[in-house]
Amino acid sequence: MESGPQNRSVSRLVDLSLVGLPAVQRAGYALAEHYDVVLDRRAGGFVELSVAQQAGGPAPPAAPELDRLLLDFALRVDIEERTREVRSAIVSAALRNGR
Amino acid sequence: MGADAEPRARRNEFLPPTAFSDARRYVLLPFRFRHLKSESDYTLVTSETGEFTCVPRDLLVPLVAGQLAPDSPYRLDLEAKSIITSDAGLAITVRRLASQYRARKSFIFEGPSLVLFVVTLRCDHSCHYCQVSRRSEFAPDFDMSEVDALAAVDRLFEMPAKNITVEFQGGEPLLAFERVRQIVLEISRRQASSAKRITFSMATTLHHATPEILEFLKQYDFSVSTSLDGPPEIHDRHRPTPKRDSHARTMAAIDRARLALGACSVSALTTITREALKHPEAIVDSYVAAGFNSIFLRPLSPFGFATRTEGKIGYPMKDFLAFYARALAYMLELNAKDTSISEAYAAILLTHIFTSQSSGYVDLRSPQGAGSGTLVFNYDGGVYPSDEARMLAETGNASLRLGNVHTPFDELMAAPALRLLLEAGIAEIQPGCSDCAYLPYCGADPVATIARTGAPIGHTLSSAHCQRHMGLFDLLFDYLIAGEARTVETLRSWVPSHR
Repeated sequence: MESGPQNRSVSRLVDLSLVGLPAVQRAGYALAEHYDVVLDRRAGGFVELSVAQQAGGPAPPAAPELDRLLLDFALRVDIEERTREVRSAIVSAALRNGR
Repeated sequence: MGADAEPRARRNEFLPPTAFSDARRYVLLPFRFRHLKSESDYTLVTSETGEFTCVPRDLLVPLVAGQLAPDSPYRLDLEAKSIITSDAGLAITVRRLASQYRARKSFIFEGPSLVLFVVTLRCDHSCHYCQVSRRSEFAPDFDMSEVDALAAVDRLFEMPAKNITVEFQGGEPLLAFERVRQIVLEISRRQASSAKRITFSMATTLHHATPEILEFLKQYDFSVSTSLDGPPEIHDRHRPTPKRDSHARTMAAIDRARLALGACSVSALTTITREALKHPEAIVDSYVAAGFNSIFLRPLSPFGFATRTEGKIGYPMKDFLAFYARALAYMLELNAKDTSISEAYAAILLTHIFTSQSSGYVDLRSPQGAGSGTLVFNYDGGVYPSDEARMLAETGNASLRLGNVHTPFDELMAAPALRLLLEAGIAEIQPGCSDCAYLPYCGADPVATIARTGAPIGHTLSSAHCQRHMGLFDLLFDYLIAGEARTVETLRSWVPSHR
């Protein structure tokens, strides 16, 4: 990942082999609560995540904070994938036996 | 049974030796996490069924990668809280989690169990924040007809739920007390030959509760909820009556109702306006002075007249959360001094945190509770999936109307509006919600999203519903994880099963 802070905006070039696209999309969704967010696919398996301040809104997070956020979402996607079968077994058993 | 048969059966319960061969291995179970603000190096982790614990932030990556050391001091706790399990224990753990999950979602199999009768839209108050778009006390054509009331009772007895709460609302329902009486008598007559257990409640100012009315409410074991917005200067400002004596009349009516129905059957809630935000301690004190041991601090609703007066009395959710934090801290301080006072909404959230039971609170469910947990019979014969849905209709958006009281229950349940809500009302698959550590305790709110955006799915994290609940859960978990033992004990005591 590389940083490119501009006037009240931050962008990160994310290597999709390190942080998958679903994680970047979820991070972007979470950031959209307070900021203008743009995801831009780039050549070579990269995506640029740009986070810009909205009129009257808070300043965007610093680059290290953004990196931590991306890693958190990568972890969430990882947990979801690793536990998908177990979750399915739990929910199916619960609903099957509820009748 | 032979003497040696039983010991053999017991030996079969032990796991084979191979189950204990590699202590490093474990199976990851579904969980979610959130970094705590007060303890910045720690992270809250919650299991699929809402068990929770706290781990150092830098433990997350090795935990997920399967690299947690066998002698990690957190390992046993993580196993106990269903975040990880052993290979051999997986089947048992899945069964246990399924059982908890089933308990949390048991409402799915029950159908609507809260039925609201809006017997009139008339009211003698002109509250600035009114969310039900009330009409003046003597306005014609805003009462439920006798024919519609009887048809609504027919629908009630078509519902599959065995335990049903019937709540009378308005307007001011006591302005149409004869309709209330008719409905209660009809339900009671038919209940005698049915397996249903039906209880009655009413949201009322109580101002019109004559001795005869109170005697009737006592006979049918009503619980009543009234509005008390704090000390007179706050209450009378936001709940004006022609004589500007609402607070005095409310206090006198509460006393009469307690005498007739018993103190436990009379509760109150306060609606927090911008002016009220400045006075959390005074509002709590007024409830203690009035003899209540519980207070419901309710933010303004984004429905009804409140949408028109929002500029005058509204506020950002962060201001409500700051108010709430002050009020809660003050209540905990009072409890430490042996004055028992709890916050009703915190009690609901804590019930979701500490138990696997479904709390019965239909506004905080996934799948969402509008229509599947509640039905509203409106004064005009319309049937809506929730009080908020009918409030939306009063302000011009009737898209969530399911039908009318003459529509059979099965058809009401098959209405396109309910299908829309159910499809949008599963928090587990909502963007934003699906990643949230508080998901097991929270719920989806598509009706509010429709009111806000016109569509059932919006940007969850920007919604007042999400901001409010994130803030409240953050606050409660700060206390539960970093608070003093006595504070945690007080909060636990607010959970009904812990009392």
